[in-house]
This record gives sequence, structure tokens and C-alpha cells, in this order.
Amino acid sequence: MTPGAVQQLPAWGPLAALAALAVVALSGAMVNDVLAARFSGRRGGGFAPIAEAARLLRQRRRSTVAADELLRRVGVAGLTVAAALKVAVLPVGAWVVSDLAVGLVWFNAMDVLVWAFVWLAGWGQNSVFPLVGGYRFLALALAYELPLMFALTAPAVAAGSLRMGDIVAAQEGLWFVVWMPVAFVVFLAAVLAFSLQRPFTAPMSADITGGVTSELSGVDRFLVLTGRYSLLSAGAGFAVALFLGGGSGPLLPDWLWFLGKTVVLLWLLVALRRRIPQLRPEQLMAPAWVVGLPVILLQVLVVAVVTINGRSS
Amino acid sequence: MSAYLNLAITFAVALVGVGGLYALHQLTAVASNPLVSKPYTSGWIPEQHALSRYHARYYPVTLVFLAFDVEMLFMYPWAVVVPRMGASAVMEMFVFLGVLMAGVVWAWREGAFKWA
Amino acid sequence: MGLRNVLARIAVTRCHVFVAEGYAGAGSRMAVERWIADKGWVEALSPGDADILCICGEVPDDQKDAVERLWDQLPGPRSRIVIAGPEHAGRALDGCVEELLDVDEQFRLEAERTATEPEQDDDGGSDDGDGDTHADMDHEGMNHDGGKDEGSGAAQMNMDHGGMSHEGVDHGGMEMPMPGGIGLAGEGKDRDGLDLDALKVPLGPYLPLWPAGLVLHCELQGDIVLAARTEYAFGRGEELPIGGPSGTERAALVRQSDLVSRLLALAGAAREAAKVRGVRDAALDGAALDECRRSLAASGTRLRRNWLLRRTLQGIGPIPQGGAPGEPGGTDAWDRLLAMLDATVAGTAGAGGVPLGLLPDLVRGVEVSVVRLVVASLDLSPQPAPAVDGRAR
Repeated sequence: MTPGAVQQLPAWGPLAALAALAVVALSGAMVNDVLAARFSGRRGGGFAPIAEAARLLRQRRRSTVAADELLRRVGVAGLTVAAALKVAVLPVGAWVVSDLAVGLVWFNAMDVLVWAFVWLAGWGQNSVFPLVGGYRFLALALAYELPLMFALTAPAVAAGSLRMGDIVAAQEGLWFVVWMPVAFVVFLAAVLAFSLQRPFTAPMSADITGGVTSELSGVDRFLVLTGRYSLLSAGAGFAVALFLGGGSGPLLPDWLWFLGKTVVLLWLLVALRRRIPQLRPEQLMAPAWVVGLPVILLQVLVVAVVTINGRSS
Repeated sequence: MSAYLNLAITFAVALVGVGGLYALHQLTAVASNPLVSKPYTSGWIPEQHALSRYHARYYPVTLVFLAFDVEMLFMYPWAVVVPRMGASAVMEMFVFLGVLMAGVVWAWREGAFKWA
Repeated sequence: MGLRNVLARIAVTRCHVFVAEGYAGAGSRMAVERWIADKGWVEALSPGDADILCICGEVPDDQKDAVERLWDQLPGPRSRIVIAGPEHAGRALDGCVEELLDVDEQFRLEAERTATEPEQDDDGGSDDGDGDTHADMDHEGMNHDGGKDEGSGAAQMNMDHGGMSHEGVDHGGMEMPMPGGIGLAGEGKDRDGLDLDALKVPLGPYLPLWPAGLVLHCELQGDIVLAARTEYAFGRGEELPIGGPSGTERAALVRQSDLVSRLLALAGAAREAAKVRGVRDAALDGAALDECRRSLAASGTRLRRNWLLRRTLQGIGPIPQGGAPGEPGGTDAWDRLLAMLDATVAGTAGAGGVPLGLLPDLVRGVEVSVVRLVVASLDLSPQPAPAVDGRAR
């Protein structure tokens, strides 16, 4: 019942996975710049990530007076590390770095860690705007986390397992997105939220002068910005594994399909988020709890009923 | 077991990567020590440290969230077991969830979600 | 090192510029914004993010300290420029690029900066309060003894052993040159009657997407404004120097579309904001006023259909009906946004700003982001003062 999911060699497995993550995240950032350039009528575009990287590598790091350095560093570096750990349980075709029996829960645990990291980054800087930004992120997180958790449960119920390989394999006949569209949409929204993308950029928005990134510069800022795109890429990858059939597809090898689907979904997310205005946390809270939560619960109910009937018949 | 080992290796590789970036930055930046500056308050001298007791107005929501979060402890194993146990498992879980949702609706009526 | 030069050359293709608007800086600011957008640069949201500090207009003498503080907060490599008029923008910013490319010079300057850091006491002047019996400075963060605060506004020392508290600032010789002290304890009761810390945060004058010269001294509890006090750091200065036929109408259109794009940018509708900014730039260039009005009318139609934006802006900053004439009574931010767009279209763009006295009441008890939206939805530029004492504030 579990084809695929072969362990990688420990030596180069994680390296390959992280390199792939870096490449995919970079592609997302480049697409973002191409779209931005096209919108503002500039020629070219696509090199912004490289230019930003060069600028930030040149720029001196900053620290504020009486800042909580340890917490700040943990918060700043944590985003990228969380994305890396997520990718470790993601099955790319038939390969996975870590074939955890509870891979789905691990994914959830890592994006809950993002709560801590963003807040720590905001707190550690000892400045008003990052502090406000950090707490804003918690407000957003309280809104999206439960729908996300339930949206993760839906594929698990359908596959009867928490192992990522099993969930991918259970989509042999029909991709989950077809009969769990609500869960898919909620999952994508949550991916945008925990990677601090529009419409959930309130923790870093202009009205608090950059929020959590306000006092960061140099490699600290680089890590946060990279972390955002890495989380978005990892989330897109998981969306493919959970809902879009993983590596299934004709002709090409499954890892190529997987990467292709991830990249396409990532680019779609990058393009989509440019069009959505930013939400304030208090606008999201009530709708997420009062509308979002019942809807996703209904979805899980439907999935559970269908699964039981499917098994019994 | 080797699954966890690989996770640990991934973690180590990620940390090494982050450390490597910091090391690279030492080489390429215009100054290797960080600039200690006052926090940005639009050009004014900050009168107070920002680290203070922050009033998180959404604290009622955290309590409701906690209830659901503990419930998720049951949800994940339940997801694995549902196909085997059948309709009874679904009924029990959704009765439980219904009770929790009633709590959410009450909290909403009490205005816990406003002024998030 | 070759690597450093290569990095420098790549890095300056995308500079981040912190734009600080000084006295009579509106025209320069618009020119700078345009230049930044054309070159694909980024407007920095905070000095920590910036390579270039760009001051548009003049800096009044009493503001020179503030600008120096901003300059100090830029991490290297950095460059600074004062732009007196819109026509100088391009050349000045190119000069900044040259400075940024000079890698050796930047390294030397940063080394100098580092060398002077240990005595980072640049706010010199104020002396210590009474004798210091402060405990170790490690935990400024949190340990409050309940409520041992003297009056409002006093910065306070944190004592580990209770009973000793003194006002005043302390400097020098410690790792913490900040006026010592932490957020006030027990300063404000919030709407539930809880005793909570209140932080004093001044908003403006050098804040991105903020009216020039406006200062809003807020007391924040969490992110809600408890109380606010307004003042002007400097006056508005002359009108935008727009000549030619229908100059005043054009100037009004430019100013209104500037305000609209700022409000839209803060509300998160970046695409619309960019479009309105494009109309503003076109008007500055001398495009036909009718064209501009048509584009703005189209924007207005699009915005009316945008239900998410409407939900964001509706109910924000409601001004009660029946105030003094000149106050847009009975409106909230959404109405004012539409009114601004309609006024540009109809060519009846009003002259002066809204009296400042409204603002503290509007912002009491609302969140910081809502404060920004309220401020952006009002035309709060000070009435054009006569040139002779325009800078006297």
C-alpha cells in the first residue's frame, strides 16, 4: 500500500533537498520581480533577488540598544530552518529525505514554530514597530491555524495515514483536490499566511514601517526574506503532495512532475498574491472562526463519510 | 529511526547553511560588527524601551484556540483510524466538534473575535 | 577585493532609498519617487532598510538633529543627499550611486563609525539624575516593581531591589546609552479597566507615507492608541511649483492624487496606488488634464467595485456630522477616499487642509494601522503659511 517513499542516502539527501528548495524559492522570487517589472513598465526584471542578495550581503548588520540578541537571532534564522525541516518530509516523487510515519504532523509542527520565530524576531528587536508586527502575526496565526489543521486532516482521513508517502499514493485514482476543494483553498491561504505573503503581510506592512523587518539589515534581513520565500515554496510543495497527486503524471519521471507542479503552483501563488489587498488581522479573525472553521469542518465530514463508504463498498 | 536521523541531519545542514551565510557576510559586508543604533522612531530619541507588557487584545481568542488545539491531539490519530472504525468514529468525533463549535459561536456572540 | 566590487555593482542596481520630506519638499519628493520607480529601486520603509537617505526640501534648523539621528540609523554602506528641487533629483541620486560604488571609501567610513561607537553618547547634554544605584542593566526588559512610576513621561530606571526609583536620564559609560528606563507601568487603564503599560511613540515627521511635517505623539497600549497629541514640525511651504496653463488646477490634481495613492498604498491596494501615482506623474509631466481626470474616474469606478478595500476602509475615522465648515463631517475614510477621487475628476479639488484639532479624537482607541489610514484619508497639510514664518515652528 505504500509504493515509493524510499529513503535517501543520508549524506547527500538533505543537501539535495535544500538545494532544490533554494532553487525553487529563487525562481519564485524571480517571477515576482518579473511581474513587478511588467506592471510598472520597466524592461527586464527577474534579477531583483540577486541584487537584493548582493545588497544585503554588503550591508552591515544592525542591532538596537538593549535588544534581546539571542531571541532575535533565533527568530530571524528560524524561518529558513523551519522551511528546511518541512521539506525534509516532503516526498519528491519516490524519494524522501525522512520517511516519517507522522510526516503531516511534522509539517504542522514546523509551521507552528513559525509563530514562535516571527514573534521572537519582533520581540527581540526592542523597537515599537517590530513588536507590533510580531503581535500582529500572532493575531493572524490564531485565525488561520485551526482551519489549516483541519485542512491537513482531510487528506489524512482520505488516505488513512499520516505518512506523506501514503497520502501521495492514495491519490492514484483521483487527486484529492477534486473532491476536497475547500481544504485545498484553505491550505493555500494558510501557506500564504505562514510565509508572510499578501494578503497576510500585516506583520511586515508599510504602516508599521516594515514591522518585523523594520530594524533588520544585512544578513538578518536576508534570512527573513529568504525564509518567506522558502516557506512559500515548501508550502506549495506540500500542496502538490497533499492535493495535487504528488508526482503522478504520464511520461516524465515522477520527481520531475513533482517539481514541475510545485514550481507552477508557486508561480501561480506569487502572481495571485500581487492582486489581493492586504488584510488587517482583526478583519480576518471573525470570518476565519465563524465562517472558515465550520466550512472546513463540513469538508472534513464529507471526506470522512466518503472514505467510509468507499471502504465499505 | 533513520527517519529521525535524517531529520537531524537536515537540521544540521540548515544550521550550517545559516552559519555559512553569516560567515560570508562577515567577509563581504562593509563592517563585520553590527551597528548598534537606537530604534527607529521617526527621528526622535526613543523615550522608552519598547519591551513592555503588550496588551494582546485577542487573549479571549487564545483560550478558544487552546480548546481546539487540544482537540487536534485527538484529531490526528482519529484521521488514521477512521477508515477502520467506520461510522461510529465519525459520529463521535463530530459530536465532539459540534460541542466545541457551539463554544465558538458563543464566544463570537460574546464579542471575543472583535477587536482581535 | 574583486568580490566586493562585483557585489557593489550588482547591489546598486536596486538601492533602497529612505525618503524624508522636509519643508517645501513635495515636488522633490514626487520627483524622487518617480525616479525610484523608473529605475526599479525600492522606497525603504525604515532607515534600517535604506542605503540612501534622501531629504527632499529643506531641513529647518531645529530638525537637523532628527535628520542626523536618521542618518545614524542607516547601516553602511550609505549615502545621503538633500534635494532642493525636482529637477535635481536624477543627478543627485546618481551621485549617491557613485558614492555607494566607492567600496574602499565605504569601508573606511564604516571603520570610522565603528571606532567612535563605544562612546555612543551622542545625545550628550543631559546629565544624570541622582546618584546611580541601578542594578545590572541586563534586564531592562521586564521586571517591573508594580507601579513605582512618577508622573507621566518620566523615563524610569528598573530596580531589582525595590524602593529606589529616580527620574531622569543616565548616560555614558554604560552599555546602554538610551535614556535608561522601560515602558511605563500602570500608566493607562484600558477599556476593560486593566492597568497596562503605555508606550510613548511619536509618529512622524520622517515617516514614509506620512504627511510632511505632521507629528502625532501617541501613547500606545499594545497597538491601540490611548491618547494622541498633534503638532507640526514645520509648515507646508509654497505650493508645488507648477506653471503653465491651468496651473492651480493641475497642482490641485497632483496633490489630491498624491493623497489618494498614499491612502491606497497604506490600505494595501498596491496596484491601484501605483496607477494613481502614474496619473500624478503624468500630470506633473504636463499631460492633458482631461486624460488624467478620466484615468482617475476609471480608478474610482474600479475602487467602488472592490469590496475588500471597502471593508478595510469603511467605518474608519468617522468624523461626526456638523462640525465647523471645512471639516468633512459625516464621513469615514472610504467616503473621503471617494470624495478625493471625485473632486479631482470634477476639478473642484479643495485648497487647504483639514484642521488638526480633529485628529486626537479620531485616533483615540484605535489601532496603529487604523491611525495611519485615518491620517492618510485627511488632507492634513498645514495651511500654507506666509513665507516669512513658515519655518518658525
